[in-house]
Amino acid sequence: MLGHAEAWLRAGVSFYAMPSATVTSARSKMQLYASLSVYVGLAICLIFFDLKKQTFSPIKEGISNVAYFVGEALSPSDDWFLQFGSHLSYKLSLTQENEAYKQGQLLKDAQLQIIGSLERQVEELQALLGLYQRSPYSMQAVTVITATDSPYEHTLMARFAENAPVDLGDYIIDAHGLVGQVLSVEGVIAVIRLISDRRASVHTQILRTGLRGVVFGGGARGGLKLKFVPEGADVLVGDVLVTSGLGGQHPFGIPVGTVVSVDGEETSTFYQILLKPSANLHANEDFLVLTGAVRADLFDHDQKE
Amino acid sequence: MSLFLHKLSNAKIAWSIVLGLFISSVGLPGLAATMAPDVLALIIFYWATLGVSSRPKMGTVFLLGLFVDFSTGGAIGMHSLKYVLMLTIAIQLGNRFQMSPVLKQIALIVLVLLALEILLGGFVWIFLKIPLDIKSVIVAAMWGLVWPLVAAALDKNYSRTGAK
Repeated sequence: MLGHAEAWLRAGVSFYAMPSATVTSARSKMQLYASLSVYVGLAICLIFFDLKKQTFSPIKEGISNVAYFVGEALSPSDDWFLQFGSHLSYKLSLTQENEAYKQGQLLKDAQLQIIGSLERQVEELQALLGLYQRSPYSMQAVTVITATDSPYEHTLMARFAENAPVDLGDYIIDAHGLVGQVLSVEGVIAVIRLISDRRASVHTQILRTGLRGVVFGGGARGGLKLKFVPEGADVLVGDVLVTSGLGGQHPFGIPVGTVVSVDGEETSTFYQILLKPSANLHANEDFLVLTGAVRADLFDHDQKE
Repeated sequence: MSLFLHKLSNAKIAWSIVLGLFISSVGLPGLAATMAPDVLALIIFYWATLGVSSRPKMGTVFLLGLFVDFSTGGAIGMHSLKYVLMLTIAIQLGNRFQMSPVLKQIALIVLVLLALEILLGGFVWIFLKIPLDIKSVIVAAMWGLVWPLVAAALDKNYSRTGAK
């Protein structure tokens, strides 16, 4: 473009007679070269004064120091990259290791729970076996299949051996005491009403004093109640109640519960006595059914008194 | 890459120049100061070839060069001269450079950088009688090989709001 402008000038044509676009382009080119000349000259001067005369050395030194410190502060070093990489890889490996430990711990916890459950089951079965071996009564083992979840109805459904003589009203016991009574039998399945059911009742006797009374299920509140005991009767917290054996159908002395509170009511002439069941009503899977005759003591009460 | 329809964002240009200034002044970790890339030169070259709207002013370029010289402790005026010449060459090449194949662009950039480094080395030889360090000249010129990276990064960084 500049060549064209020069050609126009050489031809003697007036500069202002050129087409406007060409004039603008030529002017901008000239401005560019003019600026370039100025800045190149300035730069060469600066280079000369700096290299030859050392004019800018003090300023350069000061600024260079500041820039060095700023650069050091802002720019990450090799060490920083290495440390960061090492930190990331270390963190990653730690996270993976931690996950592995957590998984292992979960498995171990589950295994421990299984072992604990098995130990408890074995202990319970050993206790039942001991009871079975020293008992003069005929007994049959039953295994719980289902249990009701309702707080107002405490029943179990249990399976027993084929041809076992399980009948209505038979007592269900575990190694610690009375659990319930057979409510119905169909095939090898028996429905058991727990003594904590609000409709259950057991005729009992306080082991310490011989005082008789009827124990009822606590229903939704759980536990047991000894009702119709007149105020002034000799009942203390900690007294053990056992089956009375009245009627001859069931044996005497099966632990039913322990007195946990004795309260008098102003509106009633009877005590309100609460008991804790001796048996583990809701914990075990295996129980025994008393199916035989009734005579001697089944449980050793010496330790309970 | 459409060069003519898109309105360039001044903020993006400014930020890219600031980033280039930082890299050119401070360098990159793990690289000796003499081996550091002069990214700012490539950035100036890129914006200058795009057109008038994105072209940095010569005075600005000169001052940027001064800043780099002071921060790196080099001879004052060296980078100013380099950037001013690069800007002029870029303006002269203009859109023809942008439309040429990438390999040709790289070759041209490397040649320009090589020529400028030799020129600057010539000033050092004239004023201080120190011979040209061929190794550092070649290294500086070889940084022109990263031109496609710089161009790709800047290409994604300008606004397309004016493309309607």
